Amino acid sequence: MGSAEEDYNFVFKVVLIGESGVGKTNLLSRFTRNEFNHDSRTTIGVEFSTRTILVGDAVVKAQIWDTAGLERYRAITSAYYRGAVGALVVFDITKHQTYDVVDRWLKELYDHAEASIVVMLVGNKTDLAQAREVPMEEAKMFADNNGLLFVETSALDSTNVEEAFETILKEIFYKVQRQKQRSSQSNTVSLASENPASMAPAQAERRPCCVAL
Amino acid sequence: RLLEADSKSMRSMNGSRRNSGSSLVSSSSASSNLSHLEEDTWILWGRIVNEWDEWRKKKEKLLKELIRKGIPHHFRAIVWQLLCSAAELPLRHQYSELLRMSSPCERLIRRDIARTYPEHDFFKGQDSLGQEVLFNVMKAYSLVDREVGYCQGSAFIVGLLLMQMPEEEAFCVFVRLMQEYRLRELFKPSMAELGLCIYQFEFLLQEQLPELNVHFRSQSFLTSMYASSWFLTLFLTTFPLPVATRVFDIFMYEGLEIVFRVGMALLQFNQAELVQLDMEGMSQ
Repeated sequence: MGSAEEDYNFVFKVVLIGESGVGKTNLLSRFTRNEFNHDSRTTIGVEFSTRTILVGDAVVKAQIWDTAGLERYRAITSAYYRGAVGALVVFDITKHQTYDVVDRWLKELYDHAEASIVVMLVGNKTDLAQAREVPMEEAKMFADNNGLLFVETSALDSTNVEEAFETILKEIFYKVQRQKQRSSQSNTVSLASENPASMAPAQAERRPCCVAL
Repeated sequence: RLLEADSKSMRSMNGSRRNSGSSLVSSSSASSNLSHLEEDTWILWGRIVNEWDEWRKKKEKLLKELIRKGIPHHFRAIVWQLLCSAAELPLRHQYSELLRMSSPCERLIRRDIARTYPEHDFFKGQDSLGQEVLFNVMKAYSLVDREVGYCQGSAFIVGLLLMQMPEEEAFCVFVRLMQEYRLRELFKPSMAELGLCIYQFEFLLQEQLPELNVHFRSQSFLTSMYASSWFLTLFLTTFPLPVATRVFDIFMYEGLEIVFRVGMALLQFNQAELVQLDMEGMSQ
């Protein structure tokens, strides 16, 4: 039960997406449990895990969802985008094909998630730099052109994993703060934010919002 | 109830996660100190296998009951094959030919081979026999069923078969399971059948365990979040292997319904604890 007693000001739901085998599950376990598993198992369906961090004075609980990467699983996993305020689109820097399909993942994401979702492009497996197939500059440029945050990580040697999650959580936090201020200034916006599917305060405060099926 | 699998057959399973290859002949060291009860079970199952047609036709009820109690380890390979009539599969003769062909799914399959039962000795190491035969069977299947090709989850089912029997036999059983046991529908690109199973399970939950259902809903704990892998891998990625194998025994006779039964039993058994947990606790 442990985590239920924790005190936190915000809950942010973040989804991990990307091709099968790029290291989504290990990024998650590195961030939430500081573990890396060489023999990790194919993710079937969806798994998730949480970690609480400090952003400024606020205690932020990140609820991170790890989904199966195989394309046909989209049919059942699209529901998991609901209520997500952040997404890490992961590719493997040593497999160009996993980068080529980032576009498709983004489309999928924008089709199902809120337009205001914060998205970060993550090139994983920098520990295998000698086998690199995707130049960092190329991915960085793609991210800039599409308004995405960008970072390269290694779940194996921990490089930038912490930074990646912290950066996106901060970005979400500031976005929510801005939205909150705006909504307190104008009645029309606060009305809109009562919509449970929107990312506004109702979603972010205290408890994960209950999304009706 | 089902989960409290009788310890007898569990014990006979432990320590004998055999290497595949020789299907029926190998005997475990435990056989030297068989109790009378176990000996009786062996004699009984030996008879069942020899008089299969008769048992199948005239002693259905008893057979079902015996399978629920667990098929003794050494009879598994043969009984599973008998239950799905794998030997009569016409495709059987094409297996070696299929291995010489190449499949568009190969890359996809390769990516998952080392991630299927990674903790299991038989599948450890890139050059292990386990990984080789698993790849072979998955590839061969993807060639005979282009629509499904390869779908994640199915490798766990094939992996279990390969722990019991040689690759060609495992291939035949798998083809049967896909064709006759609704699995093909589950693994089709749209996965519509999985959606249906989840829907049915949810309805069952609402009917059988309304209190838990309300709790799940209040926590936004969707059925598909926990039950998808139950259906897609028949609990092979949920339970320890000996328990999952027992569920698989029953699946071979009773079909996909057992997933509903075990799933419901699992929730019922843990209901008191579950209603006190939030989403994170429950997903553990």
